[in-house]
Amino acid sequence: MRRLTALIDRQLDPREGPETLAVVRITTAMALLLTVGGVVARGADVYWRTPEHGGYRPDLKIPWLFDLLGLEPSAAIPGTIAVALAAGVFVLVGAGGRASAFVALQSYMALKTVNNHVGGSYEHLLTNALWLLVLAPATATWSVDCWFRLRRWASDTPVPVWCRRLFLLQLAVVYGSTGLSKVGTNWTPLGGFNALYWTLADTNWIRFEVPGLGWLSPLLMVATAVTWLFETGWILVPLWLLLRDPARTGTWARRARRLDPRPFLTAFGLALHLGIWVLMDVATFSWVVLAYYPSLWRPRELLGALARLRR
Amino acid sequence: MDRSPAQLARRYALAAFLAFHVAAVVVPSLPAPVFGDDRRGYESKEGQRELTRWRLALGRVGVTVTNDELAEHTLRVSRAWLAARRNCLRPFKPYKEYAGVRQSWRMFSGVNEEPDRLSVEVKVDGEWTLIFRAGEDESWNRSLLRHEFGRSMLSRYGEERRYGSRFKQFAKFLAVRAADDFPDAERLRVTIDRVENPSPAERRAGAVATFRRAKRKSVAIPR
Repeated sequence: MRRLTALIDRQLDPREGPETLAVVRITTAMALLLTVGGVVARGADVYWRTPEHGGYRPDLKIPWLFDLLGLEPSAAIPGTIAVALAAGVFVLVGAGGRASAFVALQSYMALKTVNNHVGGSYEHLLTNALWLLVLAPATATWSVDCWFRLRRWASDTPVPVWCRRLFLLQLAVVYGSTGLSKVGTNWTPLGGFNALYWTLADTNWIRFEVPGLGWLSPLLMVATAVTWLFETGWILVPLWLLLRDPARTGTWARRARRLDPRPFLTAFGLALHLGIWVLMDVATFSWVVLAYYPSLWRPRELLGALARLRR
Repeated sequence: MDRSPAQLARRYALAAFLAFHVAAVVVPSLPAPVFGDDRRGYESKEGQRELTRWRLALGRVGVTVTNDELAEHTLRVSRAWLAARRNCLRPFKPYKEYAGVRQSWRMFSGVNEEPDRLSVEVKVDGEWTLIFRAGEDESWNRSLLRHEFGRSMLSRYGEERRYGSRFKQFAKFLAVRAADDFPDAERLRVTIDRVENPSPAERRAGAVATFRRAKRKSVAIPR
């Protein structure tokens, strides 16, 4: 029992500055606004409607929220879009605390639930981030809430470290799981490491035809193997976090403290997602994933990096 | 630090909730087989290609097996794994439903070597005229048909022998949109072709993609 209490203390007690959470809140809100705004701007919200309202699918799923409020999906879609966008703006500026994140989450969940034949994994990643913003005091600084509370925009009110760690865990799970799921032979020597070649040959997902694709294939083979290693390697990040816990002693704990994979993970991840964004049209996937990246860094590290950028 | 019983209870409740959340994130993220427990996946061209590659690799280490035997074995293991996985996921279902904590990350897990290509035509005076073809002529309703929603939907509906009624619903939807744009058109036809892309070596030798029809639906344009 004493060991369990000590473990709980070690996980719940540590606190840190509120800046990283604020940055993740802002990046998540931007990803939400880009996602919903992109759907509306291109008129793709018809995929969320029945034929009577200009859509194609008569048997839309009724989200639990619509069911609770007695709303008919197609008729409720325009209002739900407006609520999702407004809540996104509230989350962006940090107004309304956890309630804004909750409204943004539920309205976006309702939108993405009505037609489960459209959309992609990035939508789950977005709802996961919004739920974590419901759990975390992400408006402690750089927010309207902070201004109302203290009459200034910034505050150093500490927040629990576990909030940031949940974002980091989610990111590690996304990469680790997607790496382990890549069992298609094209990701392995059996298929000649040609996964990226076939991906870039698929006109459904590319932005433009890549010139000289056949000649690029040796480079793409290396990129296939490296991408798989990068994704699967994220499984080790939670382990690294556990090992570098100050309470731990021993050789592995010392090694974990000496080794810091985060600069490499950040640089490679940025290059990977910017590359995906340039070459492939996969909606806001890259922006939603990158919204989690600040959680890799402690607030003082982020502030230090910002100060260096200003100089 | 001394804590009151109420504070301690809150603290343990938070710790229990966080442990549950971590489990709800990690357990459902355990991978599921690409074709699941659907035999048709293994019978498809893509499935047969994957099985052949594994069969040849196994042959090189002295394991002799046919594609059918390998498919049967993989199906058996997949079914057992999926059944166990389903049982493990049951406690997290309400959390997933109401808090949106979903963990399905099979992104480009099995890359499609034969993707789909969408074409839309209208019939005017007995002649079919192309009004949209993905990657070639995207002038009509591009923002809608090239939106990620449209592409993800069609990669599903393009499956042969499945989603026949959905595909028809989609064709009718396009016919309604074409009614104003093409006042003289009588019918609209939607085609999904399977694109057979050349391998890297074939492409370097100058080969180009060929197309095989997978699905086609023609519907009347409502007036």
